[in-house]
This record gives sequence, structure tokens and C-alpha cells, in this order.
Amino acid sequence: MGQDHEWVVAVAGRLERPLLAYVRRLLGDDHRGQDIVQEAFLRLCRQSRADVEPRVAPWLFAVCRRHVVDVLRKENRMSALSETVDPPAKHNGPAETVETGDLSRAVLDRLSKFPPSQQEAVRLKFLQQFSYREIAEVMGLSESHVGVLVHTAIKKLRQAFAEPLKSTAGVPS
Amino acid sequence: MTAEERESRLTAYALNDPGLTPAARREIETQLASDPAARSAVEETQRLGQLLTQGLAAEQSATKTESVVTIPAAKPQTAKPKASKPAWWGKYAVAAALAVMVFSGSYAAWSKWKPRKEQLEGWTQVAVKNNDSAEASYRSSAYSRLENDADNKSLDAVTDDLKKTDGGAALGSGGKRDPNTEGAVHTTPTPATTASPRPDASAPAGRGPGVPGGLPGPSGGTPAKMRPPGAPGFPGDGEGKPNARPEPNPIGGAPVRTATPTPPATDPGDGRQRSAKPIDELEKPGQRDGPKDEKDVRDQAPQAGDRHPQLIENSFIRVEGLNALSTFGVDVDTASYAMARKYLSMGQMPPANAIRLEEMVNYFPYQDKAPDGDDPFAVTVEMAECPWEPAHRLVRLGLKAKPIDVDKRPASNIVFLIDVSGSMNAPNRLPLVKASLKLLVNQLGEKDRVAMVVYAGNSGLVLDSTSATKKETILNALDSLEAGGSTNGAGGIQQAYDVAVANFVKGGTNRVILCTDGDWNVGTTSTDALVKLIEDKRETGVFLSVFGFGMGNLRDEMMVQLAGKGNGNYGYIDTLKEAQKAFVEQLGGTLVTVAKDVKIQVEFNPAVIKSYRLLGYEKRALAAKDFHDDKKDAGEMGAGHVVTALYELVPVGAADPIVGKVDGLRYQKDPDVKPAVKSDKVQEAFVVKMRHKKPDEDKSTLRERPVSDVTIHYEKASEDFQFAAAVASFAMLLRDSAYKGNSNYALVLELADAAKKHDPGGYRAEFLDMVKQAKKLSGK
Repeated sequence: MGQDHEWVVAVAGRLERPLLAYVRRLLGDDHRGQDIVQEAFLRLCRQSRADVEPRVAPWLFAVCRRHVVDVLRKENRMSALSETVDPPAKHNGPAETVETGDLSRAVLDRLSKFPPSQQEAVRLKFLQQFSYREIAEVMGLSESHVGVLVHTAIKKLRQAFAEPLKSTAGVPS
Repeated sequence: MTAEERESRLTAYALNDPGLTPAARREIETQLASDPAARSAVEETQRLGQLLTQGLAAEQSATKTESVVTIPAAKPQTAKPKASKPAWWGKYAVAAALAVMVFSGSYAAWSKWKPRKEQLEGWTQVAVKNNDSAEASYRSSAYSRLENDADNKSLDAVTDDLKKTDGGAALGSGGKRDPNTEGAVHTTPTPATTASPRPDASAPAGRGPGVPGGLPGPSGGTPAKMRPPGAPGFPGDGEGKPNARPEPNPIGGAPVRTATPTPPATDPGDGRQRSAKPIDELEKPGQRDGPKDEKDVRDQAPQAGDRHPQLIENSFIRVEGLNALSTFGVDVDTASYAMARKYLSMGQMPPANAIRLEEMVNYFPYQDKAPDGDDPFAVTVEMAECPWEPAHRLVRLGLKAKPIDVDKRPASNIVFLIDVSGSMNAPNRLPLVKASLKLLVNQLGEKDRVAMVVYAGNSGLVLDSTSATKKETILNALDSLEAGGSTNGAGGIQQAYDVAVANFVKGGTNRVILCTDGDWNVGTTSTDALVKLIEDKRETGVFLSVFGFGMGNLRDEMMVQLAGKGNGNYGYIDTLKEAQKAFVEQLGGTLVTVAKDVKIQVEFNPAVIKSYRLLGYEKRALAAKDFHDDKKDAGEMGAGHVVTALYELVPVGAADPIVGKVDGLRYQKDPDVKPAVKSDKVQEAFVVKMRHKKPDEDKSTLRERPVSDVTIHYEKASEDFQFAAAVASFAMLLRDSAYKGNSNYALVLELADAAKKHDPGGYRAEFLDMVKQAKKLSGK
């Protein structure tokens, strides 16, 4: 039993920050994000570990997302999740990567202009390293829909950065 | 299938999505073989993927986020609220109230627990706010309600339901609370009375990584309210068992994270909001900004939890008596460089103890000539003015191991030993392990066999030794791995070696490849015991490669030792590109050992050299007498490896850098009286001696190489010399070494820039970027 508690704490240690970042991005709101993440972990405590463990990350993301959707629905600002409003993209601080700092920043800038659903799928894919299936679980979409979202975004980015991608493809194959 | 669908599938393939069926995969691979456009699309997508992964991770780590999650102290075993609402609500309220009572009595026991460091790794804080049992039941109902609803209804239904019951108050409607409540949401808890101390900003000071800065304060009953309802007795916690709760790390020194309490906020809006009022009055608004300035201490602030070995740099040693001998074992580890890069890429200066100079220098390919004939390695020696101390000389010793053609690689028997514990469940851990090992598997052929052992709470054989021709079987086994559970490293090592021994290939490569974040918390976890285990296993003839992944709880010091004692090498994999280097470009070096127990001994001539300092290799230092002792373990060299050792020499006549005065010896000759030196040896500054064994032999071979004293300006020295000097200088800057002399970032850049012409793989160019990043971060 202590083990399970440890497990939840370990999961929180690992996923709390990504979840917060994710929720805040969807919500564009600092403090309710905390509440929502907190609630998700409380819910996790109530789950049987065996049920959730294999897919705990998507599970938590899905719980948070549903909660966000509720909040937004309440406030009639579903638009934030659908098409129009772009959540503020934050990249301040010096934490860009060394090799590819400028390029990856440019890529992120471009990404922030994409429709929210594409951004979200891309972020789940590359920040959380979720599989399409997991993203589908989180976003409540079909796996093939996720595939299309990711592909569309990737394709647009590939076209936009065709040159730098070619020249920096330094990894010999 | 439309063209668009086909493209979409190609993207999924490039991103290695497990959703693709093996059949689809094969189909795509056939297409790739004949379609260069598709190939470049895949490459670009992968490249883009790397950029996104790195960029998004950096963006996330740049965003300050204070921790908010509060974990209930214990988990109810079987709680599955499926009952009707009134029934479960009443039950939980009672149970939670009981929990408060039980806990109040047990706080004293709890507060006495002795901290156990291992348990702290990866823990997040447990923040607890107050001791109001009314709120306990309130919260219980709040989230049980939420959960129940979410479990059983569609979101719309929940939303509608809430509208009905609470007259429109939003679920989790922070925005609708009054300003006081708002403030309270982020307020560090403040005791209502001084008699009930609480965790505050100062309390967790000095606590370590992932430490629950907001450990429940000593206000009895506090945590109880956070317990999920219906946690009867919460054994292991309420009763003060030490394993139930994180404790302050006595070592600390990490940035402190202050607990932000959980707000009473996520109000399901069932009209109970009022019950939070008295609680809010306990809060002192206006402290909300406090925690935001704290640094987060997990993956984003890695040194907090990473454990690096203490490292005391070699000092200058006066050339006199037996001290004229400098002895060390070679080392081909490169982990330190990749770790430093990772830290810098996250916008932080790496901690000094993460910097091992020789691992930084040895990260790079050099142009040293490969040996002729059967010789396992060739030696290059070069001496010039020391760039950061012009009065001194810098010597570069380069050992180049015989490279091996990929197709002439001997048969191999490889056992992957993969850590699948819960802590590996992060994007740059298990998924990167899988992707990295796939690169390796794709390099293997019919002579090679792969087995796979995983370990978490228990270890297990996932894949028995399988011919590498069955790539799909191996790749599928890799794909099937999932992270979860605690970590029993020792059990896994034992089993992996057993498998390797059972499939031993005589005259071939027999190697266990360990991939872990090193956060071992079950079984034999003391470094000493593990090292002993590894030392025993070394006798089997199986070699070990250790690859570190992830940050935040990396047991760097243990991995250094394991690789060192297990006849192995240690690399740190932070990106797929690094995996490419270790498993593709330098596969020969990683797999095939051409010489083992390679030792170097240099004897300096006191007539020419006053004192010397070996840069790095602190972990490989040997006693002079160990040089000829074949029982003494030293470093291994893989095919094609280059090992560089640098000495800084003080010539006779230059000012002595040795600080600290030592009295002259009463019973021995004054060391300043130079021993008689044979005239024909005067020009010799030092002699380099090397010993090594063939990989399957126990007797070593000796060779010697005298070197004359020359002084040329460092700009005239070879590119390799200048580049190695640049890296060494950089490493000393990162360590803020006492021996850095006139090193500065401009010098490093100048040296490296002059030496980047030969740059296969682009590593030197990357180094320049890294130096610039460090320069920026350090503000120098």
C-alpha cells in the first residue's frame, strides 16, 4: 500500500509539470491549471494502480483535458480549444537547445500559428512522446484523426523549413 | 489509400509510431528502398521531430511552474466509487473525519522518521494545507463527485448536471471566487496560530531533490484532510512507517521548492463552496508570488537529483623520487560531455562534479593515425606551449585503437539490460532507449545475437538470445517495453550476465548493454555491493556498457564505477543523435574491445621538468606499482577509440605553481639538488610507457616511448592538440578549476575555432555552440 502511494507520488513527480504546462496552454489561465492538475492526481489516487499504470500518462492528460473542456464550456470559451484563439506561446529564458536553438525556436514560432488541435497533437507527440493511440485517448479523437493532425502539421513545417532541415540533416544514415 | 493517407502513414513511420502494423511497416520500408523522395521526407520528419522535441522541452523548462500537486497520504486499496451518490458521500465524509482523528495521534511518530535518501529520488512534494476536518469531507466529496461523474457520464452530461445543481457555478471555477479566495489559492499556508507551525518558505531550506518541500507541517491532522476518503487506517503512513512518505533529504543544497498548498478551489459547485470560507481566513494572501521564484527541481533542474561523484582534481606534482612517475588507466567514457551538453541545453551551468575533463576531451574523434599491422593501438605524443599558461607546456598523448571494419566485426552476443522502472517513463528515457537500441539492432547482422532482460521491481527475460536476422522479433520486443514500478538493478544485472554467459561466443563480443537512469531503489543498491557484483561478473569474460538516460535522478557516480569495474564504457545518451554516435558511427568501439587494462605510466625527467599535472583521469589514477601488476584492472579500448591524455608541465626555470609550502626534508637530500642525469638523456623531457592486454589474455605487453623537450607556440601545434586543449580549458572553466590559469571562453573559442576543419559528424561545431551557450549563461 505504501508502494502505491509512493507510486502516485512518483508519477506526480514525473508528470505534474508537464500536465501543468499542458493545462495552462489549453486554458491560458494560470491558477485554475493547478486546481485541475491537482484534481487529476486526486482521481489517480482513487484508481486501482493495476488498471491505470500501463497508460498512466495519457490517462492523466485525458482527465485534465476533460476538466479543461468543462471549464471552458462553462465560460463559453470553447473557441480557445477549437479554432481561433492561440494560447500565448511562451519561450522566454535561455533554455534553447545548444545545437539547434535558433532553428527549433523558429519551428516553434511557426507551430504556434497552427490551429490549436494540431498544436496540441504535436505537443503531445513530441513533448510527451505519446503514440498516436495515446494522443487519441487524450484528445478523444480517433487514432487516424490524430495521424492526420500530426501529419498536417509536420508537412507544413517541413515545407516551411525545407532548406534548414536539409542542411542540418547531419545525422548520417 | 489516397496519396494523403499514404503520406500520413509515412509520417507515422518516420515518427516510429507503434500504431503501425508490421505489415504496413514492411510496405513502407519497401517503398523507401526505391523512393529517395520518401527517404528524404522521412529524414526531414525525423529531424523535425528532434527539433520539436528539443525545442518544446526547452520551452517547457523555461516556463516557471511551481509545484501544486498534493498527494493524499495513502491510497485506498479498492476504492471504486460506483455506489449512488448519497451513499458514498456519507461514507467518505465519515471515513475522512476518522482519518483526521487517527492521524492527529500519529504525527509525532511520523515526524521522527529518519530520512532515507533513496526514497527521495523522484518524489514530488507533498503539500498539505490545513487541518480542518470539515474541509476534509468537503474535498472528499468534491473529487469523488468529480470522479464518479467523469467515470459514468459524458462530459456534456456532467456539465449539464452541474448547471442544474449549482446554478451555473463553474466546475473548478477559480475565476468566480472572490478575491480573497483567489489569493488563497496560491498562498503558502500560514498557521492560524503560532502554536501550530507549518511548512513555510524557510522550513524546507536545504532539502534535496524532489523533496517534499511542503512536508506536512507539524499541525496534527493536517495530512489527513488530504487523504482520500475511505482510507481505513492508511497503514504505512498514519502509523508512521518510514516507507510511506517522502522525507527531507539531509544532503540538500538543491534549490528549494516551497509548497504551494492545494486550494480548496476545485469546487464542484454543489453549493458547498461556503465551507471553504473559514479555511481561507487561515491563509495570508499576498504570498502567492513566493513559490514562483523558486526553481523547480526535477528534470528541468537536473543537478538537484543527479548524483555525481565527488571529484578532486589532480594537482601539480613535483618531479622528485617516485613522484616522477605518473600512472593511470585509460578511459573511453564520454558521458560527462553529453551530460554537460544536456545541462547547458536546459539553460543551466552543469554542476562542477558532473565535469570529468577526460570524458569531455575523449568525446571527440581525433585524427591520430591508426596502428599498422597487428598492433592494437598507436601512440601520438605532442608538446607545445600551454595555451592558458604560456610559461608551461602542454602535452597531448593520443592512443588510437585499431579500427575495425563493420563487416569484419566478430560474432557478437549482446544482452540488453533495460531499466523499465517507473522513473524511466519520461520522453527522454525509455522511449529514447528504445529508439537508440533500434539503431543498434539495425546495425547487427547474421553473426549477432541479441537477448533482452528488463528490470523494474523484478527482473525478467523479455527476449531470449535471438539471431539478429530476426530483426522484427527484436524490434517488436523493444516496442513492447513499458515503464512502471520500482527498480531492482542488481537482480537485472545478475540475470543479464547469466544470459550472456549461457550464450557466450568464444573470440567474439560478449557484452551486456545496460540502459538506465540509474535510479535504483530496490535490492542491492549500495554502490559498493553493486560494484562487487560487477567485479565478480567481470571474470566471466562478459563486458559491460553502461548508457545513462534522463536527468533529475541520474546516479552518475554509480554508473562511472559500474562501467569502470565491469570492463566497460559509460556513455550518456541525451538525444537520438548521441545514440547515433554510440550505436552507429562508433559501433565498433562500443562493441569490440581491442585492448583491455590499458595503463599509461609517464616518467618525467627532473632535469627538464619541475612539476606536472595530469588533466583529468582522477577516477583512473593508479599507484606506480600497479602499472606492472596484471591483476590491477584498468581501462578498455574499443575498436577505433581514441584516448587523449593531457599533461601540463612546468619546465625547470619557470615559477612553481605548487601552492602551499612544504618544509625541506631533514633526512633526505634537498630535492632541489638535481640527481645526476646522463648527458645523452638531457634532451628527454619524459618517457611514456604503456601496458595493455589483448581482450582475452591475462598477460600484458609493455612498450615505451621517450619524448624530447620542445617548445612551439600552441598555434603551431596540430589541430587535435589545439582542440583537445580547447576542451580541457572549457572543462576547467565549467569546473571553475583552480588550475584554469588564463583560460577564458574567448581562448576556448579561439582554440576550437582554429581546429574545426576536421570535423566528421559535426561534433566540433557543436562544441563551439556549447561554449557560446556557457559563455552566455555564465555572463563571462
